[in-house]
Amino acid sequence: MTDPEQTLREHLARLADEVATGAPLAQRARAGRRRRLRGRLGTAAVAVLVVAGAGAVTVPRPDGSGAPPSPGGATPAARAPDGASEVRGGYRLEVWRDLGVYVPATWGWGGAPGACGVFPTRGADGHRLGEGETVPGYVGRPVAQVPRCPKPQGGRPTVPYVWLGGHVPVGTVDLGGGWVQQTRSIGGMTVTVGSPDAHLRRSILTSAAVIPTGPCSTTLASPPTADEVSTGDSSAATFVPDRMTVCAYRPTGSGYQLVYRQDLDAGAAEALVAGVDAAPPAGEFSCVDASGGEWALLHLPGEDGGSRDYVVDLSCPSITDGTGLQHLLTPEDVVPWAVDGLNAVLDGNPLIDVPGVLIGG
Amino acid sequence: MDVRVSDRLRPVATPSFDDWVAVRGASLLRFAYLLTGSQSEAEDAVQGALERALASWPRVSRTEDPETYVRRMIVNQHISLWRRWRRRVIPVVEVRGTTPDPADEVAGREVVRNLCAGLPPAQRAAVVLRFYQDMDYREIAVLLGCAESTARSHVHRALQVLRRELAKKDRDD
Repeated sequence: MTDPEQTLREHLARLADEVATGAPLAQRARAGRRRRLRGRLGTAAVAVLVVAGAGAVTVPRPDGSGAPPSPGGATPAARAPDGASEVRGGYRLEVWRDLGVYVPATWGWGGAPGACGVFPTRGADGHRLGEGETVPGYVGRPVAQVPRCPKPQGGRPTVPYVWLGGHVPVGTVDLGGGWVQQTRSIGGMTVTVGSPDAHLRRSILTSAAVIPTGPCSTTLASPPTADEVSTGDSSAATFVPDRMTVCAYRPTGSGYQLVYRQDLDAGAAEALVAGVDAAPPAGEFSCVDASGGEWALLHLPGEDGGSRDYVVDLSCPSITDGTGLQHLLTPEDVVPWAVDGLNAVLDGNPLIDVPGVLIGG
Repeated sequence: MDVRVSDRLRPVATPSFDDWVAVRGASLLRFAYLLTGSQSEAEDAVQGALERALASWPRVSRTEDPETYVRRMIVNQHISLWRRWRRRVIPVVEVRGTTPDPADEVAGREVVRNLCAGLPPAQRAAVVLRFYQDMDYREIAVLLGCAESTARSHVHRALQVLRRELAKKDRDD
């Protein structure tokens, strides 16, 4: 009888020779890659959000329905059966510590009572607002937007707002001219909405809830650390990120607190990995104990079940990979994650030359 | 600032993506063809894997064996697609009827072709890796992401099916 192993060796080789090998593989791969990236960038540009539930936060998605968020962000009706949050047309989730609130996706970012600059400073795409430029509304956090507090202007607000964690007493204030400001306390944190639209105020306030923080710890006693979790199937060299969660921390008297959290897609994660790969090493000990300031933890789950963290010390400035090696911050390793509202909560560092992103406030 | 460049980050000469694909592309296509049994599916599988490799090329190109990484992507993609398809269709693991051909060589090739077509993708991948790529079971297990015993089992079952089919062919002859 014919030896089956020999038969396989012989005929597999002959079968393999049947295939035509003239396809322009490299060109097709590059074209396919460009298509994927364009698709992702296009998706991200339409700032409508999917909200991830346990562990994840905001993912821009096109939707266009424009419907307000349904009441009760933490109610079962607002959650998908698998625990992941559902799409809410035209709204995005904003996070302050472990407080989550849905706000219109077209709104920008700015400050809130408790720090200098209670006004919008960034547009919905994260760009710094120019002189006279306005936004449909904004999300404010008590994080300084300007180095010196301007004199209070008084008068009514000009655009609707949501303040997260603002130093505002709970209750309702009639601002005149139909404008009303309402403040609730949730989980020990305040949520304030100011608008002449009662339906909008109610919708936003009832969407507020304490949510799981996923890879972002709400508070840290010391700066975040970068971990790399490999599966049996992967290695550092073959890591393919699936997405990225950005956790932004600012110092408090006793440690660091989460001031912003956002999920970004695989395109941004891949760009970050490539950017860090290409960044010059800063030296393993060049920035030890340099920071008392701002930190970002970038958590990248991999396609194979592993994960990789990067930690950014904005006072150094450097980005540390999972092996503990520090790389210099460059436009290529900053631009992928320094997007949207992050630019309103981290000041960045003048040593990082990335115009319009973190740098220059 | 005292900057110390770590040895492990010192630049090393690595092939460009295009150069590497120019050299290894044909081999990858042959491998994918044996996994999928189709020219178009083979090209799609290789392209998908190369797109992923391109995204991380600075890292991938520094690995000891980039081809293993790309092959793994091809196998994973093929198995993943098959799993989705399996929800609708459960293939029977048996050799389908061979195409009659007077020439033994062609007949033998058809037996192997049909054997591969009837195998679940993980078994098929294990057979191709074992008898086309000449990998040992440890290497196959690593690439398939399974235990070495599972890799052996995949190959053993495929050989059982092939033995039956070859015995039948010998009887017919």
